[in-house]
Amino acid sequence: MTKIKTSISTKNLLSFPFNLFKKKGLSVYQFSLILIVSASILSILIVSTAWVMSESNGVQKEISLLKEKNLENKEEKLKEEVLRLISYIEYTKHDTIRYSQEQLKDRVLRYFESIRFGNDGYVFVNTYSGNALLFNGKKLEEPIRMSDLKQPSGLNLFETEMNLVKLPGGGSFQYEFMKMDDPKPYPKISYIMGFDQWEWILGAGDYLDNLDSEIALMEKDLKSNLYRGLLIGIGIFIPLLILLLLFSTYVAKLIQNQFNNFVNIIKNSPLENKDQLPFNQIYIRDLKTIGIDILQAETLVKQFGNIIDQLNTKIYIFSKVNLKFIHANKGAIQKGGYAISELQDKTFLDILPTINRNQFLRQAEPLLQNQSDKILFESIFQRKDKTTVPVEVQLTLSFFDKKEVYVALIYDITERKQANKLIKNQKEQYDSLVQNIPVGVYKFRMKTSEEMSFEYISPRMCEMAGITEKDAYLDYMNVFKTVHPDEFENFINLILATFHNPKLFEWEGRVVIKDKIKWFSVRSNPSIVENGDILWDGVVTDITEHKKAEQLLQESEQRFVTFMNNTSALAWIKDENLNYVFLNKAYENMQNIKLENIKGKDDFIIFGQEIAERLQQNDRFVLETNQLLETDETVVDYKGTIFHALVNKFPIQTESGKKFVGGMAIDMTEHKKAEQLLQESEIHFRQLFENNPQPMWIYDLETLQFKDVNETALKKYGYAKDEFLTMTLKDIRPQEDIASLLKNIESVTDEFQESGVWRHQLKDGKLILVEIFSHNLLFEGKPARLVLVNDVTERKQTEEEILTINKELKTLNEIIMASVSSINLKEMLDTVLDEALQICGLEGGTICLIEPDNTFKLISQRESSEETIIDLTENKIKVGDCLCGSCVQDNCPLILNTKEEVLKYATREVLRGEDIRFHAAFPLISKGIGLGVLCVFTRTDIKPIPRSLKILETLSSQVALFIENILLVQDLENKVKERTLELEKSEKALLNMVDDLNIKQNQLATSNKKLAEINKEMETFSYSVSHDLKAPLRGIDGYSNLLQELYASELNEEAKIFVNNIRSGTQQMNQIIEDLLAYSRLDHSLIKKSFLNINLFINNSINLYKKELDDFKFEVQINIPTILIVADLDGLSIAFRNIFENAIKFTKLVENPKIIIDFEEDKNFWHILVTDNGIGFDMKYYDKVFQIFKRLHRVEEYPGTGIGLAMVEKAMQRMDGRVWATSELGKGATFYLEIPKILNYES
Amino acid sequence: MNHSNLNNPILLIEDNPVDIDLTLRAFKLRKLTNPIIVARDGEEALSLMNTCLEQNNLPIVVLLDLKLPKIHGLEVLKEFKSHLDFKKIPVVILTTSADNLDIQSAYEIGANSYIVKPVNFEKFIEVVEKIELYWTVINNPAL
Repeated sequence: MTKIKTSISTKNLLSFPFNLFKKKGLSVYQFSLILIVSASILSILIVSTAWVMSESNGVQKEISLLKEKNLENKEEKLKEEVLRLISYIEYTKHDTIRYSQEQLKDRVLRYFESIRFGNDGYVFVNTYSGNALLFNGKKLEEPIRMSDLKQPSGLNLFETEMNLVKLPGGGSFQYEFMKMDDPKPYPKISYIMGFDQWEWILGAGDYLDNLDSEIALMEKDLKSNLYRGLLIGIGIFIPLLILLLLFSTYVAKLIQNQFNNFVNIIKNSPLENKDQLPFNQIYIRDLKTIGIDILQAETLVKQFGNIIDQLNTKIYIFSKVNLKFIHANKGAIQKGGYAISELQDKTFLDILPTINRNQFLRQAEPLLQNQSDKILFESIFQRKDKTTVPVEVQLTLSFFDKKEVYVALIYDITERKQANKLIKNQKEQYDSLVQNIPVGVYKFRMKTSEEMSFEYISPRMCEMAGITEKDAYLDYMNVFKTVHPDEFENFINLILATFHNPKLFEWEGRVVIKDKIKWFSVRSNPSIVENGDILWDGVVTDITEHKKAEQLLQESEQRFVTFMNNTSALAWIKDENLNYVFLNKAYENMQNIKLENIKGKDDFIIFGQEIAERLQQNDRFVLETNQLLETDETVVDYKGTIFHALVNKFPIQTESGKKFVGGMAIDMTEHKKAEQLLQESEIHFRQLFENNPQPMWIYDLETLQFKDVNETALKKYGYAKDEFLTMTLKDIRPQEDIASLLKNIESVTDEFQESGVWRHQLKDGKLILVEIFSHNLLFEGKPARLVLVNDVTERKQTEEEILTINKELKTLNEIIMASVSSINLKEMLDTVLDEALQICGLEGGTICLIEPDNTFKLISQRESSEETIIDLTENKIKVGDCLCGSCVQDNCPLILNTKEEVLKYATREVLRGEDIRFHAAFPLISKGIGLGVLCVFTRTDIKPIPRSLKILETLSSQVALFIENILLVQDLENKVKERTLELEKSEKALLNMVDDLNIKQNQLATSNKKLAEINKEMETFSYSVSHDLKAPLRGIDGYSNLLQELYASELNEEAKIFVNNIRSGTQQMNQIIEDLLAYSRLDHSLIKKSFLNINLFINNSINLYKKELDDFKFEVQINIPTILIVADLDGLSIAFRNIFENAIKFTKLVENPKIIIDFEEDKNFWHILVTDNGIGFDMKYYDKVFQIFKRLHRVEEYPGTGIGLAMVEKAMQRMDGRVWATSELGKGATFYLEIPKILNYES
Repeated sequence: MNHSNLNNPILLIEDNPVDIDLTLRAFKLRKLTNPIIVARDGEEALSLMNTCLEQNNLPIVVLLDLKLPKIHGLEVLKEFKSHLDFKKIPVVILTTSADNLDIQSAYEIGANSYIVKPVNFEKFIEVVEKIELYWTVINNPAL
C-alpha cells in the first residue's frame, strides 16, 4: 500500500501514469497485456465478492439445519423419557397385591411428579377421558377437566394429544406453554404416548427458549467463522493485490520502458507523421480503469482492516521469521492485556507459554509445506496478568507489508471446554443409568419379505439374554431360543400375529438363560418405515425378582386369606384413610357383605355414623400412636343383632411406608351377656339376701364360720352382726345335734339342697324348728354355702295339730261307728273313754252319768284308784258336791294343770289323797241338760296339748249328744263334714299359692294361644277369601266372556253392555279381594328390617311403571342419594308403590305430568317425598284419604278400591313410621313417607 | 319333540264344576289335541291314575287344584311324588291360592310348577295355552 501511495502521490492520482504515456502510443502487444491484467484483477474481485456472499448464505443454512437437528435431538430425548415412563408403569403395575389399582396409579403419579429433565422439562399425565392428573409438573389432588385449563397457545391440547396417542409409538408437537414458575407462554415441545391399559396420556415436555439461545450462540460462532473466512479471503487477497500491484507496477515499468523505447524509437526514427499515432488516448483510458480498481481494492482492504481491528476475537499478526508481533487487533489487546508497544518485543510464543518454538513449528508444518491453508490447535493463552485460559488457535499464513506473516485467531474455549465437560458428564451419567437399569433395548426389523433381524440390540439386553452381540445380530433365533420351551410356541405365534397386525407387542414369560429360568417382560412398539418394513422398538425387562416376589406374595397372601377365612374371629385391614382393604369370611358373613363391594369404603357404609365414628376413633388412635390397642367394641350385624367384641387393633406399615390398621375381633356377646347377667344377678342376689324376710347366711364350708348374714337372721337369732360373724354353724345348734350336723355337712353337694328340719338354738336358748335350704357358692374365693332358714316351729306345731285333729277325727268316726253299731251304753262309753285317753295321751279317766236323782253314777273308768271307784259307786255323790259336778253346772270344762291345782280345787278327800298331777273334766251336756261328766287325769308329768283337750271337750259334747238322741249321730256326721271342708280349704289355700305363680304363665299362654288363633283365623280367612270368593268370580267372568265370544250375534247392544258391566264388576271385585288380602297380610306377616340402597330401591320400584310413564309422557325427577337405610323392605315397597301408583293415577291426565321424588334425612328419620302436579285433593277431606274404603273420586273417574292408602298407612305404622300428605286441589300433592332410623320393632 | 306327547292324556284334578267347565272350554278354545281326563277329588285321581297305569297310558301332565274335598291337593301331590311310577309325571299346581305357604310346600313336596288361576278369563285362557305348550310340546318328559 505504501508503495502504491508513493507511486501515486505526485501531483494527482491520474497524472503519474499519464505522464508515463505522455503523447506516446503503444504497441498491440502491450495493449493486450494490459487488458489481461485488468481482467484478472476484475475476476479476482468478483470471485472474492461471490465467495463472501455464498459463505454468508451457507452460514444461514447451517444455522437452520442446526436448529432442526437440535429439535430432533430434543424430540428423541423426550421420546426416550416417555418410554422410560412406560417401562416404569410396566414394573409398577404388577404390584396389585399390595396396592389397589388406584394406589398404584397414585404411586406412579407421585414418582412422575418428581421427574425433571432438560431445560425445565417435566412429565404430565392426562386420561383418555380428558382429565388432567399430572399438570404443569404437579400431581393434582383432584383431577381437573382439561377443557377447564387455560392454554396460552389457544391450542386444544387434549385433542392434539389424543391424535398423537392414536399413532403407533406416539408423537410430538410444538406449542407455547407456561412454565412451572412462570405463567408466560414459552415455546415448548412435548412427546406424547398413550398407555392404553390405564387410558393414560403420558407426556414429556421441554422448553425451547434455551435451545434458541444455544442456537444464537452457535450462530455467533458461525458468523465469526465467516469473518475468519473473510479474513482468510483477505489474507489471500492482499498478497494477490500486492502481487497485482507489483505486477501492474512492473507492467507499468515495462510500459514505461516500452514507451520510452517507443518514444526513443519514434524520436530517432525519420517518421514524418508521428502525431498521427492513436495509442495515446486508448491507453490512458484503460490505465485509468486500473487505477480506479486499485483504489477500490485499497478501500476494501482498509475496510477489512477496520473490521478485523474491531473484532472481539483476538487476532495477532506476527512475523514468520522470528515470530515477533507485527500487529494485534483491538480484541487481542483488550483480552491479552498487552499494549501494542509492549507486544513489539514479544514473540507469539510468549502468549502461549505451554509450547516451545519447535512444537509450534511442528504445528505449523502443514501450513509451511502448503499442505493446508489453515491449522487449528488448542493451547493455553497467558494474559499479561499471568492468568491463563484455554484457547483454540487458528493459524494462517499471510502477507503484511510485503513480509510473510502468521495470522493467529485465538478463541477462548473455556466455556466450550466446560460445556464439553458437562456434556461428557451427562453422557456418563446417562450411560451409567442405562447400564444400571435392568432394561434391554432393541430394534427389530420385519421385512415385507418376512425376513427378520435385530437392527440394534443393546449390550445390556445381550447380557440379560446371555448371548454375545455377534450371535444376536447373526440370527435373531439365538435370542428367541432363550424363551422357555413351554412358552415358545405361544411366543412365536404372538410374533407371527404381529406381522399382519402391527400393534403394541406385549409378552411376559419365562426364559431359560444359562440353565436358569427367568421371567422377562417384552414390550415393543411397531413403526412402519418407508419401504413397508416394520421396525419394532422394544424394551426387555428382567422381572424375575418381581415374579418371585409376586409368587411369594401370592402364596403368603393365599395363606393369609385362608387363615383369615378359616378363623371364626373377625379380621380386617383398613388403609390410612380407614377404608377397608381386607375383611375375612367371618366378617363378610356377619355383615352380609362381600369384600369386593366394601373395598375402599369405610365403616360409615356398614354401620352408620354413630358406630363408625366410635370405631374410627380407635383406628385413628392406632394409626397415630403406632400402638396395639385392645378394647371392647360394640357393633350391630346386618340383622341388627348387637355384637360385643374383644378387639385387637394394630398398626401395619409396609416397606413403602404405607400405613394400615389391622384388626381382629372375637365375639364376646355371650360372654358380655353372661357378665351383664352376672352383674344383674349379683345385684338381685344382694337385694334378695339383704331384704329377705327369711333368715339367710353364708358360711365357710371348711371352717363353718359365718361369712355374711342378713338382717332377718340377726333379728331372729338375737345376735349383733359382728357377734354372729365370729360364730360357726355349730354355735346355733343344740349340743346333741352337732354330730349329725357335721355328718350332714359332709354329704352336701353343689346342688340346691333341702336338708329337712333341724333344731336351732337362739341366743336366749330357745329352740326352734327350721327347714334349711342351701346351695354352694364361692365367697371371697372360698367354697361356701348359702343358707336360707325357714322357721317351721309354728308350722310344725300346726302340722302336729293337724295330725292330731286327723287322728281325733278318725277317733270320732270310730266312736260314731261304734255308737251306731252298739246298743250297749257301757261298752260304747268304754270305747269313748279309751279314745279320749288316746287323744289326750293320758293314762287315766272316768265317765260318770248323772242319774235322775242328780247323783253321779260311774259307768266307765281307767286307772282310777280303788278308793275313787268305791267313792263314786257307793257314795252317791251329788252333782254339786264334787269338783266335776261344778263343771256340769257351769257347762264349762274344768282343767287343773298341776298337782297343786288339783289339791286346791278337789273337793273330795279321795281325790286329794291321790298323786294326780293333771286333771280335766268335761261336762256331757245336751240341749242344756247335763248328762254326765268325762274326766281324764294322769299321775305322770305328761301334759296333754291344749288342742286335745279341746277335742275332748268336743268329744264330750258329742257323747252327750249321742246319749241324748239318736239324731245326735247325724249331727256329728255333719260336724265331721264341716271339719273336712275346713281342712280342704286350707289345702286349697296352699295350692292357690302355687297357682298364683302359674297364673301369669297361663295368661301368657292363653294370650299366645289367642294370638295364634287369630292368626290362624286370619289365614283361614285369607285362604277362604282367595278360594271361595274368587272361584265364583272366575265363573262369572268366564261365562260372561263365553257369552261375548260365542253368542255375540245373539246379543243385542244393550245385552252386550250388560255383559261388559258384569265383567268390569268382576274385575273390580277381584281387585278389592286382592287388595284386602294384601292389607290383611300386612297384619300378620313378619316384618324384618334390612339394609337397602334407597336409590336403587326407588329406581327399581319406578321401573315397574316405565311403560305407563312413557305412554303418558311423564317427567320423573329422582333426587335420591345413594345411601343405605334400614327399613322393612316389604312394607316400604308396598307403601312406596301405592303412593307412586296414586301419583301416576291422579296426574297422568293433566298436561305435562310430572313426579318428583325427593329424599330428606334428619337425626331421627329418613323421609321419602313424592310430589306430583296432578289433580290433588282438598285438604278438608284429608281425614278420609287414609281410611280404608274411602274414596274421593268415583270409580269411573279414577279406578281404585280405596284400600291403597290405608295399606300405606298400615305398612308405615308397622315399622314405626308415618305417612302424611299435603295437597291443593288442582295443583298436585306431596306424600311423605317417614322411616324411623331406630327400628324398635322385632316382630 | 315327542309325537306321543300329543296322545297322552292330561289329568285335571278339580272339584269346582265351574272351574272344570271353564278349563275344558279353555283347552277346547285353544284346540288342544291331548285328551283330558277329569278327577273330582284326590281319591278319584289316584284310582284314575292306577287305571292309566294298567293301560300304559299315563298322563303327560297333571293339573292339580289344592282345595279338594276328602284329600287335600298337597296330600294328593305327596302320594303322586312318592309313587314309583307317578313321580316322573310333571304336576302343575293350578289353584286360586297365592298363599306363600302353599307355594312353598307345593314345591317342597315336588310340584313342577305353580300357577295361580287368574280371575280374568282371557288371562286364564292364556295360562291354559302356556301350560299346554310347555308341558306337552316343549318339555321332554322322563321315559
